[in-house]
Amino acid sequence: MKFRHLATSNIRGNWRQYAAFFFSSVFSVMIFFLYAQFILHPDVVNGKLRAAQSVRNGMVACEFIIILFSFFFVLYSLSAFLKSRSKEFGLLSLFGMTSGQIRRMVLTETIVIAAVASTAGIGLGLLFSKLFLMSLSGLLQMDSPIRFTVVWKSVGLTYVVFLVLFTVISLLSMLRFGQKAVVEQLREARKPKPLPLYSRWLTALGIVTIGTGYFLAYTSNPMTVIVLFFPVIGLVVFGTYFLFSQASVAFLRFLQRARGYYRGTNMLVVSQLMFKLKDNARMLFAVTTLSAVVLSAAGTLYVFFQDFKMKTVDSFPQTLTWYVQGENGAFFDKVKTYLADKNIGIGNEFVLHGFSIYLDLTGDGETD
Amino acid sequence: MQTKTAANNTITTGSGAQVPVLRAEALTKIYGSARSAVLHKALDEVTLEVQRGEFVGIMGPSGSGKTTLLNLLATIDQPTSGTITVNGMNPARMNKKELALFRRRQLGFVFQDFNLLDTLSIRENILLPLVLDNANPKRMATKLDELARQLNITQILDKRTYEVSGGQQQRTAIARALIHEPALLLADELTGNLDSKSAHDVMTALKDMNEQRGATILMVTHDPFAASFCRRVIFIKDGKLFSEIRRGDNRQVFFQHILDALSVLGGNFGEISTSRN
Repeated sequence: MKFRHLATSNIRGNWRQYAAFFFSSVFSVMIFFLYAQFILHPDVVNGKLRAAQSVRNGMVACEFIIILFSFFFVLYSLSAFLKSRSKEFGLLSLFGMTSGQIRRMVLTETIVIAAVASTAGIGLGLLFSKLFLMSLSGLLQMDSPIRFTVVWKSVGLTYVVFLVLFTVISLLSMLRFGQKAVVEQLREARKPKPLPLYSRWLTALGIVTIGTGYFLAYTSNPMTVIVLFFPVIGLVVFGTYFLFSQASVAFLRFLQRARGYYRGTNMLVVSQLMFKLKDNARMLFAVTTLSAVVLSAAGTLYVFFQDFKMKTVDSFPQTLTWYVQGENGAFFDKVKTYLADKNIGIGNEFVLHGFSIYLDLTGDGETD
Repeated sequence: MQTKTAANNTITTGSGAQVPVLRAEALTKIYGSARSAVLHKALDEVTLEVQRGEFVGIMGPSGSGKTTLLNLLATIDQPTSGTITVNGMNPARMNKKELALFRRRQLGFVFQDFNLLDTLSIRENILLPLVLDNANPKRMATKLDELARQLNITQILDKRTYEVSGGQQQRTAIARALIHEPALLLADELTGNLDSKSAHDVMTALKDMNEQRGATILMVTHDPFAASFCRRVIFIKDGKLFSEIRRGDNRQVFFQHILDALSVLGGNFGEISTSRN
């Protein structure tokens, strides 16, 4: 058995605990990769779609948001995971593992997980990228869907970005190592968990902010949406945090007082949920926020795209002119019904009546 | 620095055969921060010496400072005052890394709840201290074979920790604590989680380790049965040394002496069973 072997058997042995960390990483990688597929797609780069540049810029902005959230997301899941292993680290340092060795072990573990998660995320991303590109093509009303190709540049980009991200995160989460005395680390595991508490005020605050956010979003119109976009996102994100950390506990405490608590397995389910929810509140919050940001960003892009189209129509009105001989009212009605069918409004209509003048300048009896 | 080490050497070698493996001098530990008004003196000027090859038990009622003493000796907690010397080295003067290396090479640990790593097999658990020290694989194998035979765990080496009994887990822990031939083995209530048959097996194994391999053992316990395997038992009460008795040839007689000493000591022992000897 070599030192390296410790890290790999830790992953195998702690797989159940590592799974949460692993899957959250895979999810982040997949989303990032899908966006990268689009941004770096040759058809998009060569501008084969309407408003390609602005949509692409929006997607690039999304990528940065995704990186930012993946960062917190992965940081949370890694630190939660390391915390749950505090006793193990305490024991290892008791047996004389230096903090340098512990750091090296955790770094190896994280890098192995990162490599596997990146590969799995890219694989899943490839699996879904046809669907993603198809729906994007649909949204952007392209005549033919964007072709499915493996964009090697985006594979490379995803690997590089996430390997850097994972390394930074594991270095960050290792800063706390070796700060705590061994005796504290050992005690931490034995410490009983306190009963989750909630604050009435924070619960109310969460519900009010989330309610306000949704109300504003619901009552907004295309004019106000640009002003309200960031306040709504802020309110909802803020409210969501308290919803998960406070309101969930408040709700379960309410259930504990409700009738039927002592019936069947209700008691066990409710009391266990309370601890589980409290433990996972941050994680749930991170997942919710990541999806919210990605969806709103995509939604906003779509709105801008539609707006762009409408503005184009507004700024470039079409003029239709035709020339009919005789008083042909029937043809005029035909045009009107056709336009009404196509949902095209008529801004102004002018009818010019005219008649033919025959000029004979040369005086030879024929029109010139 | 040079002269100091030299001086230390002359003192330890000067005392000839009686080289203490462990010497604790006037150890005091006071709990409670500067802010809180309540200060608790868990250990009060405890002086203790353990010679090479000794098997010492430390007994005392709950809250007498046993675990505090063990934590201090294990160098995972620092004394408020007093000094500890293990094998002529003073852990208080070491930095974090030196301390880790010191624990890795000089100390071995056995706990009440075994503390084997679930992610490793029995074999890997035992080898852990040598792996951390990057030992030569051949040396690892020889040492492992020998220890496993003596502790009668050869057949379970490839099992997982959850596949074997409590007694087997504890014997694995003993093997892990001794494979690197530490200067001192520290054991904390190691029979606390075992039934009486397993407790007997484990204590016999520990005694064999002491007698056959010459391992120096310091064991904290409140179980008089486990303590009766020691050659010397030190009683502490309220953080102070209280009394000390030594074993003759007969363990049963020694067990009775321990019970007598405990009744003088008083305090709450809770789970004493007088029936198993």
